[in-house]
Parts: sequence; structure tokens; C-alpha cells
Amino acid sequence: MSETGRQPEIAQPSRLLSQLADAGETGTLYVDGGSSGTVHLIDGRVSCVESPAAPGVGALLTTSGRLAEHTWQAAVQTGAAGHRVGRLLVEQGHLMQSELELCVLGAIYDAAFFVLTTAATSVRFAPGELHWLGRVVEVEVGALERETSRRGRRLDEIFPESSVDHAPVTPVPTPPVQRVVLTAAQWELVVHADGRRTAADLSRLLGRPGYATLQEVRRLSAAGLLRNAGPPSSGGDRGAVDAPPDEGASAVADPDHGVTGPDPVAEGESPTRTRAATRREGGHRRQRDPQPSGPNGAGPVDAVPDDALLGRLRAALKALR
Amino acid sequence: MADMDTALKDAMQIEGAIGVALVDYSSGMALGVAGGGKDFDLNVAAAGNTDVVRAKLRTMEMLHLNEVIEDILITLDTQYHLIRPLTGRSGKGLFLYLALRKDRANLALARHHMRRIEAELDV
Repeated sequence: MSETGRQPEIAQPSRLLSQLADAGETGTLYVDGGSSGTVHLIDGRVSCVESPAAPGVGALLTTSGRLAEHTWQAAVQTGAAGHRVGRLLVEQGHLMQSELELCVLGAIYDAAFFVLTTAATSVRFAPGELHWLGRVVEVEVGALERETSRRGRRLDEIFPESSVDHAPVTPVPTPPVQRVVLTAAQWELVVHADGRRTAADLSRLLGRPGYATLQEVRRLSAAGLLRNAGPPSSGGDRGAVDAPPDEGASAVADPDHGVTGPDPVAEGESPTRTRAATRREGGHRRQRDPQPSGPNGAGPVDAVPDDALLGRLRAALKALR
Repeated sequence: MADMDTALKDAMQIEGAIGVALVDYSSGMALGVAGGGKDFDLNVAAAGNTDVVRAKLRTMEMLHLNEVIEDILITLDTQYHLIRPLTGRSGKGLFLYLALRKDRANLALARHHMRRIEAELDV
């Protein structure tokens, strides 16, 4: 974006961030390397963090159905120049202030987990550069670091095996136990883990926080239900760039990996995936359409009226409120 | 940016309140806290109570109880702890956690206030 930034240097992002915070800087820290990302500071406090491994505020709000894609896009287009996208959404009555705060706060901690754990890499600070979202909440760098290390420990308590974090994952063909109980979130992960998607790809696809996805991936791995599908296709880049193009092909391969046979998988999968895909269309994230081209043509056909029906129900319920 | 803080401060007005936290259930992190103190670390309480909620949800799954948790009450010698998962439109994955002094709190009233505060947060 800006060419006025300070010269790139090799440093540990968290260390540089502490220095910038101590100096009370305002601007944007660009982090390259494995888990690239940006950290935005206002007066030495963090106002926004973005990472390809964690869905951003827009993705969270639109994938969950809280905001329509066009509402979000309109706010970004109108408010980006003045760094007031967040305020605009509240002023126009699309979101409650507290709702926006919580969403941004969650996204900050989520993305920070990936950006701050990056080892020394190329970093660049652009002073004065503000994020288009504007000032919604601010977090102290110290709090961010404490939480990041707590999250790292928590992850290892679940399952001390980080190889599944960045690699494509796939369900095991045969569960190691007779009876398996999964939460809805875990089921969605198992259904969409096709041996090509990494945890980061899955979190973007499902619009679920990156750290929450990592936790579930580790839990499923610990239970022996999900395993590393092999070396990552792009040298540990968390598959941010190369995974989406594979999705068309991977959908065909899905039934081979299904743990419970093709039918339930296809039925559980189609509405979810189609809905996620619909919301994502025209989104700011570059994403090829993950068309579910499953073996039984019923999935996509069913999914369309389902979606419309849900939309009508939601509108009706909102009218009652 | 005071909206969430207002809701939490509001919760601290509940008779007998010791501390309150709004907790992200997936990470166990307190997104906001009010009250508490040196001998009552709300961040630790938030992380620990996430496991309580998770265990209860898992038990309900195993029992095939297709219901939602309105709140969880834990009664200690001198305190009540009240956990209330948020049910709002995008509030899935958050819960309110309130610690009360047993000798001063009115449980029914506290639950009523928590319901109201949840509605105000509207997440």
C-alpha cells in the first residue's frame, strides 16, 4: 500500500511490536513469512490484526449470516477512505456497538495468535497508516502476548502434536473406536477435511476463528479421527494461496475419505458448503467457488431451496422481534 | 467503545456481585471483565469455567438431550457462581460468568438481571 514505510528488517514480530507499543506509535506493522499478517496500532495499542490463518471481521460477520455480503461491502466502500467502516455499520443500525466490539476483539486475539508466534522474519512498519475499520476496540500488546502464549499452552494440553496445525488433514478411514460422538463444529470439520485443506483453509471456508479450528483439529487428532494427510503442498505456507484452486477436484474425492459412507456426508455437507460459498461470493477474500460436485446430484439441488427457506424464516423471525 | 463495558458494569450492580466476565467459549478467554480483584482472578475463572461448560454440553450430547443450557449454577460455601451462555444472533460461543456473595445475593433476582443484561448485549 504505502511506500513511505520504514525499511524492512528481520525481527521477531512480537519483540518489534512491544517496542512500537512502548513508543506509543500509530501505524501498521507488516509481517512476512510463514504466517504473514498485519498489526495495526493506534497510540501504541493494537486496534486490528489480520492474518491469512484467521478469518477477518468481515468474513466472520458475513459467513455467520449476521450481515449480508452487500451490506458489508457497501460499508467498506463508503467508510474505508475515512477509516470508519465499523462506526458506519453501527450508525446505520446493522450492528450493535457491543456486537461489533466483541467481533473485532475476538478477531484481534485470533489473528494475533498466528502473527505473534511467527519466528524472526521480514517486518516493516508504516507509521501513520490506519486500518479502514477504524477505532473500535484497543488491546494492549502485553495482554495480547499473554493471551497468545496461554493459547499455545492450551493447544498443547489438548494434544501436543503441532504437525496437524499447518498440514492438510484428512479423516481416518476407520475410526479407532466403536462409537464416536462429535460436536456440530467437529462434524463440519471432518466433512470438509479432504486431505488438501489445512486448518487455516477450513477456518476460512467455515467462517470459524482460526484458533478454535486448530483446537478442534487437535482434539480430533487426539481422538484418532483426523490425521495429517501428508506434507503441505506449499512448504508450510499454511496453504493460504494454493488451496482454493484445488477445491473443485477435492470435492469429487470427498466420498473416498468419508467415515460414514457417501450418503450422510453428502447430505450434511451440501447445505453448509453451499451456504458458505454463497456468502463468500463477491467477498473481499479471493476464493474459488467450492461447488459441491458430489456423486449424488441431490445435494446441490436440495441446498438451494433450503437456503431460500432459511432466509425467509430469518426475515420472518426478525420481523417478530 | 463503552458498550460491552457498560453491560459488565451493569452486572456489577447486581446485589452481592464479586466479579463478572464475558467469556469466549472456544478459546477460554475473557473478552471483558469487571470486578474481581487480587484474590479472585476472573481470567483464570474464565478459562476454567470454559471446561465446565464444555463438559456439560458433552454430557448432554451423550444423553441425547436436545436442549440448550439457560444457565449453570455452582454453589460454594460463601459464593454463587452463575454461568449463562449467550443465545443471541451472533453470540454463539460466548457466556457470561458472574460470581456472587452468598450472604448478600438474591439468586432469583440475579438470574433475572443476567437475562436482562444478556438481552442488552444482544450479540
